[in-house]
Amino acid sequence: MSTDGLIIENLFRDQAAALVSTLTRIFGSHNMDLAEEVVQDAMIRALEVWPYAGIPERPAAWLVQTAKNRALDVLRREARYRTILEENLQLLSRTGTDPEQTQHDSADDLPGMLFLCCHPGISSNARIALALKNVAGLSVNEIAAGFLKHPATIAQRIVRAKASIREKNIEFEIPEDHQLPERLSSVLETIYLWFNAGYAAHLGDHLLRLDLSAGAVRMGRLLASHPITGKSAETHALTALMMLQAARFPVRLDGEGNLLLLRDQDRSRWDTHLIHAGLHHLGRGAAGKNLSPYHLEAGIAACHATAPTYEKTDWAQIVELYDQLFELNQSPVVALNRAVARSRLHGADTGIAEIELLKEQPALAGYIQLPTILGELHTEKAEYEQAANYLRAALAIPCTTPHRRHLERRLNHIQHMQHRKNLIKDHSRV
Amino acid sequence: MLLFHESRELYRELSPTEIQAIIEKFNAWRRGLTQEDRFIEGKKLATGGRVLRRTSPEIAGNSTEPDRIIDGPFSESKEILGGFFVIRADSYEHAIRLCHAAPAEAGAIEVREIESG
Repeated sequence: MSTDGLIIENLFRDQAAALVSTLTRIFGSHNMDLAEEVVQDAMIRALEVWPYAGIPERPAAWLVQTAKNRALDVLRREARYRTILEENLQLLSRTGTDPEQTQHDSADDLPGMLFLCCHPGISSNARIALALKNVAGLSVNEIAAGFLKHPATIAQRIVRAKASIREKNIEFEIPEDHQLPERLSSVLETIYLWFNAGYAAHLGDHLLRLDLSAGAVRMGRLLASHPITGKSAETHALTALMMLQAARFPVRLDGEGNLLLLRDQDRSRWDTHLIHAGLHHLGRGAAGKNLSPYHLEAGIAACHATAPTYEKTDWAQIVELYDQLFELNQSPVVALNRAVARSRLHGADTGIAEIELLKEQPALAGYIQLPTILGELHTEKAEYEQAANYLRAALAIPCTTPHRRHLERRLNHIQHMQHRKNLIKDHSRV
Repeated sequence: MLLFHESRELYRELSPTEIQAIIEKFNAWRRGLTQEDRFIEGKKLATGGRVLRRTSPEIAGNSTEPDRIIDGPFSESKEILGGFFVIRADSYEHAIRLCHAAPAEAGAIEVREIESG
């Protein structure tokens, strides 16, 4: 045992997810609780031992071995697991014996676990909670913080999801037959929700949310390189979309934690490695004949990510992609974004006129982007009074601290401009 | 001597990330103590154990109740003695200052001077 060993970042979280997945595969999906318990025990064991004994030279292998020993103990003790014991004792003691291999080996079960957690037989809001618990390795409290729900609500959803798995005999497997498209679609939808929980950042803890998004990107990457899911163009399109958006994350806030709009971001600080990886997956996604919303959204993100400046953005291309997206998904949010893109191409008036038509859409009631955008468009036209009213309306809607500070700064700026405009008007009257 | 009274109930609620953070903090603290030549030894106490309660002579005289031996000191308590460090400190105040870098999740730390005969 070394006393000054360091632990790789997120080792425990990644190992917890990988181990719960492997053990669930071995124990069977109806024994997911047992797998979770065994892994939590191994983590606690590390907490009890390492402070005194020091951090082992191969922490990952130590955790894997401890969890497996514990699993064997449980299997030996409980008669009802006797059949599992007989079938899998060999398997269990064989896997993960090569310490160099353990991390890679165990991550192999994450896609299977994700398919289990995202089965259409589980209600959709329970799928994401279960996936974050067992595929992302988050605790109930961490998930609750990410989704701004009470921990008891999340815990209840997870219990319900597990009950569905038992009642419907949902198995740990990635189907290769006719079921694959539906099953994969549910998996991709869950990953997209997972990513957006970090990206949208309506409220709450900023750092935790970036971490959530990073986990979703990792999962997309894993599915894109998987022999079954990697064949789907949609998998690549979603992965591309997440990478291209995540590439801008480091500069979405300035040094003081204020929100920076696309227009004001320092593009040299975007993550070029992620942009290149995203474009690569976008290319692989283009191989299919299906044009999914992920393809179109990734295409839009690629236009932004490859534009040298805000002004030189290919707005015509973006408008076209939004038109196609709207045909697939006639959501008012898509229409709102398209109106913004059109306003870049044809001027603020076009944008305002289009958004005025969307204002009464129930889906956009309380949607903070609507008044924020109208405020900006009226500012461009030097209509400061309307602009200020819209920003005040936006401020009445709950949002993150960075977003609120941004709105307050804009409102201040607009009031200042309005004041100047009035002075000039008064002056010219004299 | 620093005796760590750990809370098992708290550990159940921790996420893997939180567990790793506590271990890292503990490790950094211990490394600091070693670098300052304050750390002498540390040991984890094995889980389990026995407690022997001798029946007092007065009761023993009137009854046939034998000595009571119970399993583990912790089956009924929420906090257990998880382990100990022996460190070199100038005073209790100094020892407590040295403990400020310990993670709060390590539980209550009982600080006891080992008398040097």
